[in-house]
Amino acid sequence: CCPRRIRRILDKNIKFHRMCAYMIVLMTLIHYFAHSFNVDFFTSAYTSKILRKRLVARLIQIGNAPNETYLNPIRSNVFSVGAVFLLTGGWTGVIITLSLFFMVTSSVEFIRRSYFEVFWFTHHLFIVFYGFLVVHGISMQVRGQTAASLLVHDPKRCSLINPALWPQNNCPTPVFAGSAPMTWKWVIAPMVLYVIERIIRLVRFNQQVEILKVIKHPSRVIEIQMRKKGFNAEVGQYVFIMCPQLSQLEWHPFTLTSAPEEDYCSVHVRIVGDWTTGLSKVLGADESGNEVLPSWKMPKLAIDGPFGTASEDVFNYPVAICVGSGIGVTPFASLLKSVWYKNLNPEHEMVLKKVYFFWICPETHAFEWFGDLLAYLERQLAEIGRQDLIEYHIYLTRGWDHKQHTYPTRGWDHNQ
Amino acid sequence: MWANETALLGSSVLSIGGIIGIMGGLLKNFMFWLPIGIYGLIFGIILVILEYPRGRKNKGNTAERRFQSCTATLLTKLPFVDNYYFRAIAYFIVCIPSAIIVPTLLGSVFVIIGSGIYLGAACHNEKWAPVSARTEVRSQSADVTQPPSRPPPRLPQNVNNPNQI
Repeated sequence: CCPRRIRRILDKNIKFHRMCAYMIVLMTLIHYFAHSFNVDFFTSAYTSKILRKRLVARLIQIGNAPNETYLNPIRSNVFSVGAVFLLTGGWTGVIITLSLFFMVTSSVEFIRRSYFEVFWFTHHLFIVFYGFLVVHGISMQVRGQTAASLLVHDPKRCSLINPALWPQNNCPTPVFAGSAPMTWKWVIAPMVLYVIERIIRLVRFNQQVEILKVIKHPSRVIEIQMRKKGFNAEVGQYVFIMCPQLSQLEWHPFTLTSAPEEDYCSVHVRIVGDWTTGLSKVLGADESGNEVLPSWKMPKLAIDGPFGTASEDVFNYPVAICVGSGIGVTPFASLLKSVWYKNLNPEHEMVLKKVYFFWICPETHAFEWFGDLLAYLERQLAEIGRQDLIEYHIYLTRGWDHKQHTYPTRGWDHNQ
Repeated sequence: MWANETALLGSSVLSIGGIIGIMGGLLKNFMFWLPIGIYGLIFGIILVILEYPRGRKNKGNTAERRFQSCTATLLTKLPFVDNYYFRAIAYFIVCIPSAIIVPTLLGSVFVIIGSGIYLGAACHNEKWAPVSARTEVRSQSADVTQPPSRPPPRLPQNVNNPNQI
């Protein structure tokens, strides 16, 4: 629906999120320090030194009599730090700033990488943040003279006159009002969008996902083939997978490795942390489980997706150069499979005539399944005489290990 | 670890609050801010220096902060600093005087929260240890004692010893 340039910008959503967060932190600090002067102006107006100024003494009195509106939200002599908690803007601000503090300190890369749950659960404080942000100004404590009052009481002239003599000098009691909260106008649209997205995720959670096959690959990689009604993905997209049996709150992203032409969707999961280890255990794919689990014993999975800018542009050009390094090679599994399927279809002549595929990784450890996939595709293409459709260049940057150096003696071309 | 992050951010905010306190304290109306502002700035900077080196994680490699080795050597020489009980109580006591004016209130509340998290960490018997040098990742191949003598591709027919790549 959208042109590619816009879609590519949407892929940078997390970077944008971080920029917004830095801006929020900066603006929060500026806002806080500016209002700290404000709070002290409010409270110090009641100190004897300041009360000697007749104008200030009169202004803080306005609002005590009935039918009068006040200027100073602090109505009696309190300590300035206590006033922070008396003002509605103050204590809501404290809650907001504390939740922002927890969110920011746990989002640094070090905490995210090593203590992810701390980051994940404190980041949900954003609900508290936005809730109290919207009501932060609800008491309308930033006050000024109303427009109507400005017409009858000119502050420039009347401030120079002794306030006790105001009634005689055509200075009626000024009327003050606060400015209404306006933050909700800015944040309501993103909040509604977010709520809609969570509702969609809830709906998708309730849709049934059928697990067709679980395949164990070398180096602790498992492939899960699933099917869901109405699920359509383009090449190179990713999904979020959740397993309620393991954790109700964790949705983890995985790139789809199946082509859109296949009637199932598959992901390849590398078993590294505790969620993936738990996943392999409930799927019956861990070290102890070697028998196939019947489908009624399979755990319930939920898929949210597909997301991501698809790589479907590759089919619009006659020559495509695909470069994948390390884990980034996973979307190319789906891409190359899709190229293969489209090639099989004799009706549509493909615009794409040649694919150069470059794969750079330290070693093939944990990617043996991809190497097998490449070998399989090459065999299939050779069978129909189209082996020049995809040209592979593989670079192993960690050098050869003691197993691989025997390959050339078995007739394996090192240029593969 | 998280206590370190909170205390570091808190002490930076305390320093900035101290600067604001000093600037406001120079005005006639807010003269009360000046001594507290100076106190906040000095202790904020001390806490930043104390918190900047990241301690060693219990397992795995620890990512160091940039230039942290300058202050890490200082920390190994100071007594008590690696004990988290000490850090928790000391930060709490240090922040009470700076919590009486509004600009430094924010930073002191943050550092007090950091000290609370340090107290929790101390109850779990954590302590600060300097980050040692990164352990070299052993290559999975056969034990190589010499660097490779020829660039890739290293065809086995060009290599005399199968153990030497």
